[in-house]
Amino acid sequence: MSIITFLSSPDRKLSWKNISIFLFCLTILIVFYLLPNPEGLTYEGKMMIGVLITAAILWITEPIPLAVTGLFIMILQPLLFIMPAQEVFSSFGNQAVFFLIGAFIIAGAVEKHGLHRRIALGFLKRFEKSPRSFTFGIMLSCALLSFIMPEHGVVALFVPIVVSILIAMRIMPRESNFGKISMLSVAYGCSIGSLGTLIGGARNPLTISELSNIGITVGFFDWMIIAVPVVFISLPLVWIILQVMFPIEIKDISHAKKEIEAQVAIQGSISRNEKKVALILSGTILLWILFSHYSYFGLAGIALLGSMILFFTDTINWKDVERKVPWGIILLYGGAITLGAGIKTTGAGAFIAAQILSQVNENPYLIMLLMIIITIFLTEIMSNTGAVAVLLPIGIAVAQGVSGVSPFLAAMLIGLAGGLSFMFVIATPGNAITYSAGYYTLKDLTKTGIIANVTCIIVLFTVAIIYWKGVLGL
Amino acid sequence: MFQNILIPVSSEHYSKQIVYRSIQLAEYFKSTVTLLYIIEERTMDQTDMLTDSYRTYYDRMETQEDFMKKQQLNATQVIFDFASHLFEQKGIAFNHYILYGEFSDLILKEIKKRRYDLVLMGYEKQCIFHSRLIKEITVPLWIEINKKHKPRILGVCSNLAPNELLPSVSDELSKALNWEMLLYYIIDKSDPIIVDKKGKRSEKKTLSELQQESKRFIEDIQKQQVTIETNIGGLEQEILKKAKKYDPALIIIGKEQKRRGSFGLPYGDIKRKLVQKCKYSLLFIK
Repeated sequence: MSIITFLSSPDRKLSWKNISIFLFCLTILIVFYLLPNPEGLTYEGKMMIGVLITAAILWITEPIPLAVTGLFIMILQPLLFIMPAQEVFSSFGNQAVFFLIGAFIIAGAVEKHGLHRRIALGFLKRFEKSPRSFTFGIMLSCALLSFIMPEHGVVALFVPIVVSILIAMRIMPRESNFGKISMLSVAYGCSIGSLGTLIGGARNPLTISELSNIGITVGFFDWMIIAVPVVFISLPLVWIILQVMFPIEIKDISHAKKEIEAQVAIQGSISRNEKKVALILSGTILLWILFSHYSYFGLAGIALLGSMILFFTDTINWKDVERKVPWGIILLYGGAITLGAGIKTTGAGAFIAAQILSQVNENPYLIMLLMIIITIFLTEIMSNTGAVAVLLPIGIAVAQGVSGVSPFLAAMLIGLAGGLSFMFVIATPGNAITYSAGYYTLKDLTKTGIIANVTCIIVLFTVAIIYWKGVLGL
Repeated sequence: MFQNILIPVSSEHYSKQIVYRSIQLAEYFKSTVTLLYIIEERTMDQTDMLTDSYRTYYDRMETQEDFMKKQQLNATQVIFDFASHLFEQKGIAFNHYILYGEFSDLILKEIKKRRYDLVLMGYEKQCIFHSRLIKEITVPLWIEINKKHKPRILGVCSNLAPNELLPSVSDELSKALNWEMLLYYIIDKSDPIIVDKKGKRSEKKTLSELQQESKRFIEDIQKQQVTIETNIGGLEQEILKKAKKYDPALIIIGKEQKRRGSFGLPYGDIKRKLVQKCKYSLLFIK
């Protein structure tokens, strides 16, 4: 048997398609420049809307990496005389950016020492009773691990584990419903779980940073109180959808059990470094829960403190940070923050909100529902963070003009809906990674994704009305 | 007829059906079957590009390496294992390889490297179809579509293809698979030419000349006591119409069917369109 192995990391090419996208974006900016300023909007506000549309197009079509679009947003603002460079770049120094850096360093240490793998296998071991419970175990484990690690890392961890189990069970790719459910459980479990805490997805810190711009401070535990019910209601519902759509054809789970046992055996007993990382991680989470809303401590301070201790205890070094911290997401995030700040400062957000409100009924429930649906639609065709970055400033501005929808509630709706990308491979890296394992088809993903999305829209809307508005008074 | 059968399997699409079909053919033709598992470079590249802002280069490479290992394990322990078990039972000679790269490229290279008489592959509508392969392949290409139909073969002849081989191939396959067979001659008057044995297009012909040519062909065929029907109309539409009525499990089509539109410009790839629109398995023969 011959195996040709060649691994590569392809670059985006300067194709005609990409050139046309750039030219289209340039045309948009020129058109906005030439347009007279609409009533109630300054030149800066008008051009900022142009930048917003450009950013959305670039994040959807991806002719350049998402992170580079983040940088492009930052330089466009001073170049088009929208905001002085000093002002634009200073918004990048947001606390949430440093929270993300700290969280990535901690997640990097967890990955370096294989603690995440141990936790994942530990969870899975508890769900070996039947094929159905096993798939629920995959989903729940992915969701819970996405509470303490970025969701993409959790997907990358779980896919090889689940593939090994499926191979041990002689599960035929694309033909077995058990294979399909298992892999979709990884994708959906991580997406849903990433809503639960601020660590799961970068859009969550982005949401709180936008809220902090309007004077609303949201701590780590505050976020959990608001978001966790959505996770624990959506998770079993989406699991049931999977079971109905792909009835499991196997009954015997013994091979899965053996494979998990084998993998646990390979892990061996817990190492000293794993213990240290587990302790630091637990301590950091505890500090986040207790002190993250104190202005002299804050989310970023705790995250960086946790990271420092990892260095002091020699559980991570700078090489690991270089290997494990995705600076791309930090830049993407930075661009998103400056976009939000620009839209707010120039009055573009208020202008768009006024236009929207003049067209639609001011029924708060309709507005809430529309916010969820539009965010989910956008997050299906572009990066989650990008979708939230584009919609948050507009949503907050809309909420400021409608009685019955607070900016806090609007931001949470958009922030959480931004993570519910179930339908397409391009929607989130989690879908792309699980799809490449080869166990489900694009049709399977779209078919299931539509139903899962509709279900989650209903869940989020219901939770928002009953729990957020009714109980928490958001 | 089919001494060496190649079954390329993409890591993006696998169907057990092609293994069963190859067994049927190999048993009758005493063929050697080669199963080629192709780890699609495209899938890896797309995943890498979709995750490049979220994960570091090292993480992505780690994941890719991990995936390669898992794909290889999957091929050997699940797909080859399943196939070799069946082939051994039937006493069919069987080889298998794993390759990494672009699907069409690797198949075309493999055909150059070793002699094959048939390429048998699955197809899934959601996968981007490897149309380059249909255009460039030099051996008969069987595209198996996993849908239930009547055990029938529809052999399609026309003025747009050299039809010499088609009746005999259809007949041989009908015997091999024990399926009914119907030959169908389509006079495509939108491109009124006749393609000769060498695949060369004639000057424009009148309808009566086209009909005469079809009559000559039909008379020849009927001497061999084979049922043949004829009709005038667009090639692609007529095939689909007839297939809907006859419900064949396999449609056999001559390979050189290149219709020309206005000013002699290519009208479009009929074979590719047929694969995309058709719900029936297709065999393109040279």
